[in-house]
Amino acid sequence: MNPRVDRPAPTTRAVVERHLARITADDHGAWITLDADAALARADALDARRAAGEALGPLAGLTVALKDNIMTRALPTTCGSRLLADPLAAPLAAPLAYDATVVTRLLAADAIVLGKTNLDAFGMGSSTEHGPAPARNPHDPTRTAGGSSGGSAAAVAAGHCHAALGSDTGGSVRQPAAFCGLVGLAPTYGRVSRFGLVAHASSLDRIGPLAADVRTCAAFYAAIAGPDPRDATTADRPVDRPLFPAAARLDGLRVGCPPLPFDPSPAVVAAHAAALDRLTALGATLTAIALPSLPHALAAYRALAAAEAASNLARFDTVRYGRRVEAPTYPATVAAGRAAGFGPEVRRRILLGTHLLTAGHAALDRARALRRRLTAEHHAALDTVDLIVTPTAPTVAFPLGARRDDPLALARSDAYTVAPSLAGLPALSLPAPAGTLPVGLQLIARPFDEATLLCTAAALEDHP
Amino acid sequence: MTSRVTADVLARLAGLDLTADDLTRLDGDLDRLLVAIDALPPADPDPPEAPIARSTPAAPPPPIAVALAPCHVPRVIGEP
Repeated sequence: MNPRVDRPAPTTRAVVERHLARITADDHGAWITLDADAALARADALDARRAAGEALGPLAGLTVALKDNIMTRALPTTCGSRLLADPLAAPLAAPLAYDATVVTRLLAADAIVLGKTNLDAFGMGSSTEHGPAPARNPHDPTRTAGGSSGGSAAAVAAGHCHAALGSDTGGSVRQPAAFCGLVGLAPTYGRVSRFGLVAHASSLDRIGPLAADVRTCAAFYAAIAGPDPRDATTADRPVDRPLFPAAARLDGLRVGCPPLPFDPSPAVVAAHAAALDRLTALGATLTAIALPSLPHALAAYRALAAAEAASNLARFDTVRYGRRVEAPTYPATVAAGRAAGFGPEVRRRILLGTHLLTAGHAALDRARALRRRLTAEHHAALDTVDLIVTPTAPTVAFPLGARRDDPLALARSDAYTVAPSLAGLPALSLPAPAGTLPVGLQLIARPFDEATLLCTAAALEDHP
Repeated sequence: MTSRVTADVLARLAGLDLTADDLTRLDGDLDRLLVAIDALPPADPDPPEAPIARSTPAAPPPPIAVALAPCHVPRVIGEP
C-alpha cells in the first residue's frame, strides 16, 4: 500500500486548516496578506460539492499563494512597497481592483487561494529583503529565500501551501525555487497572461508556478497557460499536454552544455556535474555548445530592465492611489510621495533607467543588440539540441543582509537566469543533487516547449 | 564611461525628491552599475525590418489539459 496515495482523503477544510496552522506557527516572512476566512469558506464549499457528487476542477483541494504583485479583487495588492501598503492611502483594492487572469483561472480550476506573498518591492531584487520584511529560507532561516518571489518560495518550502505563483523578470521564480529546493517554471514569453500583473519590465515579465514537485508545478502551469484576449502579448497557440510516463527514460534527448562563466561555487559545480551524470544515466546525450554572449547577458538585462522599470513606474504618481505626501504644488506632491514610497533598490533602478533613456540611447542600443545576439545564439543551439542545461544560480542561498545594499553582488545571483529571460525562452529550475543547502539545475527549451522541460524534470525527479 | 548628469538631475527628471545623502549614495551606485553596461560590445547596425506577415486567426485552442497523473498526490514539504 502506498500511504501517500491510499490513505483516506482528508477533507479540503482539514488540508486548509493544517496549512493555516503551519503559517501561524512560523510564517518565515513569507506572507503579506492572509485570507484565512475566505479560504476556509471555499474549502467548505468544495467539500459540499464533492459530497454532492459534482465534478470538480483539476486543482480542487490544492492550496496556492499569490505573489503580491498579482492583482486580486478581494485582497489588496501592495507590491511589497510602502507606496501602496500605507493604510492611510487608498491601496489597490476595490473598486479599482480586479482579479488577474491567472487568478480567475486558478479559481475556475477550484484551487484555494490562501493569500498574498512577500517580494522585493515591485519585483526588483534577488533576495526578498527590499520589501516589508525579509523572507527567510526554510532550509536555513539565516539565509535568503531568494527573490524577488522569495515569499512564494518560502511558503511552498515551509509546507504552507501546495504551490505558489511568482513573477519572473530575470529569474525571480527560478532563483528562489533553486534556493529553497523547489521546482519553478518561467514559461515562454507569451504563454501565460499577464493581465493583472503589476508591470516591472514589460518585455521580460512572466508569471510562473513554484511547487515541491514537478507534477504539481505542471498542473498549476496547465491551469494558467493559454491565450487571453485581455493580454495582447499572449500567443494564440494551444497548450501541449505534458505526459509523464511511469518509468521515463531520456533516450534520444540531446542536452546542450555551455561553458559556465560567473565562477560558480564548488557546491554548485558539484551538483551540476552530478545532474549531468544523472541525465546521461537516463539515456540523454550531452553536447558542448557555445553561447558567446552569455557573459554579457547580465549587463544587457540590467540596462533594459532598468529602462523599462523607470517607464513603468512613472505611473505611480500617488495622486489616484498610493502614499501621498502633501506639498504646495502638484510636481512637489508627486516627487515627495514617490521618494517616501519607493525604497532604495527601486530608486536605484529608476535613476539608472532614467539616465539610459535620456543619455542618447547608445547604451540601450548596445543592450538591445546583445539581446538579439544572445537570442540568436540560443535558437542556433536549440536547432541542434533539445535542451540547454546550466546551474540556476552561481551559489547556494546567501546569508540575509550579505548583499542587500550591493546591487552588483545581488544581481550576480541572476547571472544564469537572465539569458533565457532576454531570449523569451521557457526555463525551469529543479533541485539538483546537493549537500545541506539546495542547488538548482536550470533547463532551457525551445519556445513553447514546456512539455519537454516538464517531462525531463519529471524523469530526473523520479530517478534521484 | 558614458557621460551622465548627476543623480540630483536624474531624480528631478524621475519625479523623486531625495535627500543629499541619498543622492550621494545613488551617484556612487550609478557609476558602478554603468561600468558593466558600458562594457557591452558595440551594437551592429539594425537589420532591415522584415515585412509584417498578416496571419489568419488561429482556431480556438482546445481546453487546457490536466497535467496531473491519475494517482498523483502533491508533495508538501514536512508531510510523509
